[in-house]
Amino acid sequence: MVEVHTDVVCTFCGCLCDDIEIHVEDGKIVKAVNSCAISRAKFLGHEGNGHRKVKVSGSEVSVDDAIKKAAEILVNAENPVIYGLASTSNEAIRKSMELAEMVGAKIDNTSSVCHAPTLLAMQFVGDPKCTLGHVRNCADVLIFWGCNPTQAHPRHFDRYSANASGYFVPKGKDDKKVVFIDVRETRSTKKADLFIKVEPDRDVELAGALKALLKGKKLSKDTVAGVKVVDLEKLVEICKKARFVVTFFGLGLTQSRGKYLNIQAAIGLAREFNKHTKFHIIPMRGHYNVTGANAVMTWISGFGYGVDYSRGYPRYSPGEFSAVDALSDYADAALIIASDPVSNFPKKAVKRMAEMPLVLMDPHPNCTSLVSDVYIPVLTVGIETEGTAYRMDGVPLYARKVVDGPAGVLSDEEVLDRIMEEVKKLQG
Amino acid sequence: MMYEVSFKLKKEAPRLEIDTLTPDCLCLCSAGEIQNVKIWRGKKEVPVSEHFEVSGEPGPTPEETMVVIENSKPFVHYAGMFMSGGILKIKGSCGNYVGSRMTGGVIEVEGDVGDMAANEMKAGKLVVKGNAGNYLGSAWWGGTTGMTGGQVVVEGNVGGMCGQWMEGGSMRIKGNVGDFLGVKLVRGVIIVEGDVGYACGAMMTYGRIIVLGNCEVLPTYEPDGTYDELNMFDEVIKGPFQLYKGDISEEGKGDLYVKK
Amino acid sequence: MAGNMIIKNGIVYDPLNGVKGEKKDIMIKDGVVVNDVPSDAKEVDATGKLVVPGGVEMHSHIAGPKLNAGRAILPNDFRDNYVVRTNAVRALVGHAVPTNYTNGVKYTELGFTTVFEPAMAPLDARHTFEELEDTPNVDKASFPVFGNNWFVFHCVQNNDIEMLKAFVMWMMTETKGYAVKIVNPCGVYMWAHHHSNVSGVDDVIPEYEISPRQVLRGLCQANEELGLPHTIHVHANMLGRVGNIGVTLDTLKVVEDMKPHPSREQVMHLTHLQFNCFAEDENHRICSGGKQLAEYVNSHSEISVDLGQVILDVPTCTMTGDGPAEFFIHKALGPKAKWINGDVELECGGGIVPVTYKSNNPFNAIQWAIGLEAALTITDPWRVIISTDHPNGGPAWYYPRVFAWLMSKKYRDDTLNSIHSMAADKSDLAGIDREYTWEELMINTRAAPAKLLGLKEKGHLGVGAHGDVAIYPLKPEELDPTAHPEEIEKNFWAETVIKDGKFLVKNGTTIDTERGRTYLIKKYHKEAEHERMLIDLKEHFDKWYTVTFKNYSVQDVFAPRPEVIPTNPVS
Repeated sequence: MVEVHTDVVCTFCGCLCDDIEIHVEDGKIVKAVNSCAISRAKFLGHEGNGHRKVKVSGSEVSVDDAIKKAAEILVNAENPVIYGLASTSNEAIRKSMELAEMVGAKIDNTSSVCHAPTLLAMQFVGDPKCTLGHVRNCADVLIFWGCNPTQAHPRHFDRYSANASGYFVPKGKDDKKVVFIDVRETRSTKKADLFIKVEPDRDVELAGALKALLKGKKLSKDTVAGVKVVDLEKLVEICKKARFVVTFFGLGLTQSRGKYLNIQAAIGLAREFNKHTKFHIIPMRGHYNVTGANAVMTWISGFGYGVDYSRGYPRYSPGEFSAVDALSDYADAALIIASDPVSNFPKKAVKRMAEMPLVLMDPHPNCTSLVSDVYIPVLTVGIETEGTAYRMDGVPLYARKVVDGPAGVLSDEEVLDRIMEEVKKLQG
Repeated sequence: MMYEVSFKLKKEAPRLEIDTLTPDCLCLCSAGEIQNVKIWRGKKEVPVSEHFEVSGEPGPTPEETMVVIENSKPFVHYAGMFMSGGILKIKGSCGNYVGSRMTGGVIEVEGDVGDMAANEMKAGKLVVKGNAGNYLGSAWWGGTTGMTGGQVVVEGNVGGMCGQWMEGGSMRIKGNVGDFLGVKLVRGVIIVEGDVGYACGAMMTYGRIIVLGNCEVLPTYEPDGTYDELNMFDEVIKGPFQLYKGDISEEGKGDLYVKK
Repeated sequence: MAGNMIIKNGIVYDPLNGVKGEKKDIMIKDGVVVNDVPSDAKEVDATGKLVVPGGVEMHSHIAGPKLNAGRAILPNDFRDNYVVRTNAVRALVGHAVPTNYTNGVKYTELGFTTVFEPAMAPLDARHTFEELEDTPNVDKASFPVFGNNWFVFHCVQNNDIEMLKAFVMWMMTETKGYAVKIVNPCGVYMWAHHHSNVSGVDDVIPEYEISPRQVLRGLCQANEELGLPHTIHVHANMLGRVGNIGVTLDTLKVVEDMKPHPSREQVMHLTHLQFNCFAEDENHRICSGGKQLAEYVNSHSEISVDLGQVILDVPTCTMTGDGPAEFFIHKALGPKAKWINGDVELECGGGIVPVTYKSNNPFNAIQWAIGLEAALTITDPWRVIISTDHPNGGPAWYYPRVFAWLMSKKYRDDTLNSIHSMAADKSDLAGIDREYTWEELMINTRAAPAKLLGLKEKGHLGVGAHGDVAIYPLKPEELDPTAHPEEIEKNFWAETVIKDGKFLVKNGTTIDTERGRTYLIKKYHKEAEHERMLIDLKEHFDKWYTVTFKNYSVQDVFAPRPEVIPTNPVS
């Protein structure tokens, strides 16, 4: 007997596609329709390697014992860190914040190693943006700057951008001009009508030059960042004449030299263009709910990431309270939720994580669970449990469950609720 | 008369926050009370005597109080925040936000300082004998006004984003400076004797930067005359200098002088 | 739920029930106002103090993506404005754009027990409701926006009032909305799609060939025939533009002949009037249109308004669904101004621009005078509501200052004389002697908003009302607000707040928090019209939305304590 679930929300990347069709047979997912390759792998492989057992110091224990141990670790530490969050639901993130406040922890999400520069830039200048459907219906010029959608967001072109058709662009690709700005050719740049190859680490110059040209200034040089000024002038004209320009950008801008200043310059350019035409700029968010993680942290603490509760109220200091910095320097315990920092953090942080009391909550064992003192498997949001997530443009969707999780495995929210109960007991 | 209070680090910790050890906070205490002034260690508030040997007595006002932190290390953060008067001497290095939002007084650091030193400084003086990290004299996150007055002197090198959104005061740096010196500079003067990194003066609106060492000038700066020497704060700085006006992607009224 | 209680010897104002400053006991049992409690009921001594129903805030931006975007670009608002957590209360943080938790606690401490979010992008409704759920204490609701929605335009273009009614009903129930909000009708569509705006109610937009007038009349008719508990709630075209008073009056005239629902006289609520009352002097500079608007309101009982009063010299943030207006504001403020724009597919738009209104800025000073001038010229207190359009005009935490300005001519004259002289030159405020009475203030902030919103158990202390009571450390029989306005400003923070019979604030301190109700509309539809509407609506989803029809509706988990209000459709 095959159950067919339609309009399933995929909880992998920031596209948050909600038109997936999942076929379930005997409690197991057997087919995923409309999925990209990454999504299909997630749905069909959701059971993992089957080793979803609760462990403390390598031995299997009851979930209650693991929760008690986790609470002790957080209460006893002087500089505990809670990190991850971008791959779980808003409901779980809200509880994580409550817990962080109770135990005086630093709390951070994966945007601090990804699009934090975007958030920093927006703090200084703001952000002209729109939802992805608005892009689909209106955009006749699309600029992809420092990102590679065919690899990182496979359905983006078809659902929202380069290939999509909409009200004002009914012929789809034929009604649009697609521009790529990158340091090298990629699979995505092959789709470009115009490819601008920029010298690595010089994007901020490029943005400044474009803005100066837009303001009618003459540049004293012939090339900027390896690009001929005449080509930049052409790009400015294309955009000025467009009815609706949208720029998507990724880690090519956020993680190269300049970081948030690259984004700040790009947003400054967008603001200037808005005097002439519609011009929006939208970050390509990676994890399916990193946007939600930033949103929830903001509405609970005022700040989107890099938050500290050690003085009993939220403080913000990126580079000081963010996870990489805290874990590399002074943190003495950590609770990792829905993430795998041991697999990708700097060596110093990984070494210290291996030595400190470490708790991991994640649907499946990963590199972090190899060194964690406590591992609590949890239900996968959007497959084994429901939860709210925000698409890269902020649109909130409610991901439902399609199969039951293994017996005895709880959701992130339930585990966090119980940890908080234990913390209350310990704190008296 | 200057009263002196001394704190000598005796027990290390992964992280200490000493924003209460300023002339402003201490002049409110008696000599007996200073042992118990609280500092933060992680999520715990502890008496300063747990980590420092405490001696001396504070004056009746900040202006009459000198605070000395001896054997200071980089994990000692927030020294001199909100200082309005008096002297703070740091023997050793210290961490982030040194002299943040100070409105007076003098801070002297013998070693290095971390990030955000002199953040939003309004008046007073910060002297760093060693190196400074990133965001020296900068605005805070989302703030569009950085340092607005006072003086900063650094003998060593400085990191990136120095003078971000600066709107007054002056900085003098003897060593080299990293990327984005004077980014979003609105007003004020920054003099660098060494080399500067990438994108000096990016998005600057007004203000003045003088570089004696090497500087790669952005394409959004226009050459605008040469000068044999410059008169700055009653000092003659010998050139010759090439003046560049920019950033033309903004108002373009900033001055970048680079020694030829 | 709390036990029984009797609040004794307070000076009670309950205008809905004709109680005007009487020494009276208020009794609450099982969370509801009664006229008899057992002798062991807890006694609360309110001797001589002002005892009133919990405040009802009908227009305050407290939850949703706009507000969160404002927070995200104002870390400074949080850095220096915080209260350390206690065992009973979590950390409070923020001033102009506080966290949701802080909003709930502070509004309660102000003595308000009901707060409604007045502008919600329907596609983002889940976000609004998540934030409302994290807003403690107050009962709440949210107004979805309709005035720039493609499907509304589709119905209006076809003159199909039945389809429009079916759609409004569908939208209300599927996005858990409470009232029809209209922001710059047609203007935001023009901005989102054509980089433009509308400049008057008869401008015709392309693609649909309809005007703001048609949209307003269509939605007004639909609203009144559906019998929704509140009238259409309108943010007029040309907000923030010098000379906009003409367009504002045109907007009011658009509905002059519309038929209200039999239960009421009003057909439209004009919101934050201050921003839409900029008249023009002979040099085309701003002067106050507050009096002009007030005189219209005085002779048109079909209109209600709220002020959008400006607070001077306090950093705050503008945030509205009016995309083009926010673009204009950011340009006017200069290159350092931060600006967020957010267009939402098929539905609406919006923008956020932080601002500080300065007392030495002639424009801001005149703005300050406009709200007060209108409030003091409108004679019917049941149709004028006090608001700052939090946080657009200023944070709601300055309400006590607004009360003091209204109750004391001397206090507002002191301000008028200390700010830029244009405020006095370009308005009629200096010549107004009227001072609000305690009764009028309690009408504006309790009885009237509850009535206009159709909340039968709010805003009064008659038998059956929710046991929501605020006790202020103000003694109406002893205190002369005219002479001591600083007492009004200082003490209009509640000493005690009871909600549903439970103590939330005691001795001016929050001792407990809880979660309030969410007001929803009872689902009603004519089956055939509903089905007909769905055919066209689903086509919109298939062709143009990027979420599926099935995923659009807001699930019930987002409003865990619903309070459903029946609608009374006509015919």
